[in-house]
Amino acid sequence: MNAVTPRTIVKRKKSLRENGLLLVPSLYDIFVAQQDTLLEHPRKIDGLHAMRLSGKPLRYVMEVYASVFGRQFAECLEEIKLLLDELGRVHDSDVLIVKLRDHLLQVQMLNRVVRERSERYALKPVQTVIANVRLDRARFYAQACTRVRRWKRTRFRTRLVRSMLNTRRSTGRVSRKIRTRGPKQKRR
Amino acid sequence: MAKPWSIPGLDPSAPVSRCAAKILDIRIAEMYSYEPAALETENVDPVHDMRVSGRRLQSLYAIFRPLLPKKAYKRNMSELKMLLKDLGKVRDSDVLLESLHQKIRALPPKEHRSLMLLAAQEEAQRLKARTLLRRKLLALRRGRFEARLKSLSPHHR
Repeated sequence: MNAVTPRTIVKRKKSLRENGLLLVPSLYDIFVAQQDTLLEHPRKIDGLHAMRLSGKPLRYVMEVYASVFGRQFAECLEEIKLLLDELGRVHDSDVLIVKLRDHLLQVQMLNRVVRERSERYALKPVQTVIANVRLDRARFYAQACTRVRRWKRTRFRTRLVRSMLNTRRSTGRVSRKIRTRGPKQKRR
Repeated sequence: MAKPWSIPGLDPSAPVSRCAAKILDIRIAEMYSYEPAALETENVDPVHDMRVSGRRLQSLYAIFRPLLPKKAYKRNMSELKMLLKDLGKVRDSDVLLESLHQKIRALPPKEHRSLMLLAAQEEAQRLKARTLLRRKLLALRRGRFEARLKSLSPHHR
């Protein structure tokens, strides 16, 4: 869960739509702030998990605004849901791998005290399952990376902001920083 | 994952405080709609759905924070956080067991034994987590947590 900052809380005097125009891009920036960790450090489990958690408030706020902003906004929400789903599958695989590796050690220790060879637990099935889960993880990780790279290439943030501004009744004033690019992105 | 309930009659040009009350009330009702099943059945879905809708509620409370009373907000949020933690423990075991059983089924029967040992350990963990969750849900029921959450909404004050 992301920390509460002035950028991620509502402004009392503004309308629901005006608050959406401020909140959604801010929450999106927090979500993608860790995209480089995702792309460059595939084994950094904590970083991937943190990115997934910071995407959840964005998703839940966008769900509320789905009825306020139009179809394009709903499409952006679907994209975000898909990425969070892929990151979730990567996380589930990471948890399962740790459990299986711990179990493998336990079984090895248990086998040392079992005298009868036929009574010992087989290690190979556990190793096979670990290898399979690793393959699954690699597949989900690659899917997530492909999506993030596509977002970068196709300027997903701009599309998201436009989807809110293009709504017929969107009249909220938005600062230039929100309209064009996120605070973290460098000018070319 | 449970779909979020739609929020009827939301006026985007209305002041955020008026909309916040409506949004929070719907999300509280959504979370509590799964509570009886999460308490009474062994089904994995109600726990998952209650957890997801609880997270939705938690995120929205954090965003609407300036509109809510400070003291009551802190107390109720820490209780909600504890509930989410207990729901999370059950859910983690459910996810792990589901994946594990799926992997076991893909292996020939004679290779099941060492993985069934892990599944049995995890089942025991799940049972423990479920007992704690049941206790927590009953305690929150006795403490009228749902009503307290509703009273936090801006229009109730």
